[in-house]
Amino acid sequence: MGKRVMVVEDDPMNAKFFELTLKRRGHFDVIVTEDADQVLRLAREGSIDMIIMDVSLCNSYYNGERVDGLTLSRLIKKDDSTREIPILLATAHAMKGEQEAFLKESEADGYLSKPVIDPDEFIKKVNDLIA
Amino acid sequence: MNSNPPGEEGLYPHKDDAMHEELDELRSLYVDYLRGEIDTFRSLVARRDFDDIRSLGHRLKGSGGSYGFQHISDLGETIQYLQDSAEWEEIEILLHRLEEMYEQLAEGL
Repeated sequence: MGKRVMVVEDDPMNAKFFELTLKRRGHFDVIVTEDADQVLRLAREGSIDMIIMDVSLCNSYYNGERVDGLTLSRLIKKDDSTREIPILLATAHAMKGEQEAFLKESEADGYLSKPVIDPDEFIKKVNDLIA
Repeated sequence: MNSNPPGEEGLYPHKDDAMHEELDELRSLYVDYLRGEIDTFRSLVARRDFDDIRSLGHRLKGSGGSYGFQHISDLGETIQYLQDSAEWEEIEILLHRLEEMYEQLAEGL
């Protein structure tokens, strides 16, 4: 069975792009969700090899509170059972210094700027983090 | 759909591979999605919702270029980083530019 990547993304067109690219170019199994409880449950079950995490999530709630990708990532990294899952932050934020700030706050393992202009580079980043 | 749509400036990197046909279908979906975003943009301008207009710009910035529509991402970035001091007239011009881009893309379908 191929490696399984979970895409946490609220924008439907970004989600479709990630799913297609990961399946066709990377030959990964892909799960797309923005449900925070599902994200944490699947991560804890041990069935996820990597997570692509959008920073700005509009419809994700945890314990009744709205959570963004930074918080969700931090929750995964604080949990002993899920901390080893590599997380690639994906965001369209482009201001200087945001990348470093986001990585520090989220404890994620890598950073991806959207839009994804080069799918091969994207797949390489995923492979590098999964390896 | 033509693999070199109007407005695409050589940034579509998915040519000549297995993804091409499927991405072409998704590009049609993207143009439909853009129509919805324009309607949203118009209603946000009508109710002077600056924060959600910036969020809309963020979505456009993050998505357009992945489908080869880098000019949509560029316009989205302009909208995403609008200053608080921006005039509504300026924002309406951006809405009009997005509508023009949409029309151009829709004609290419």
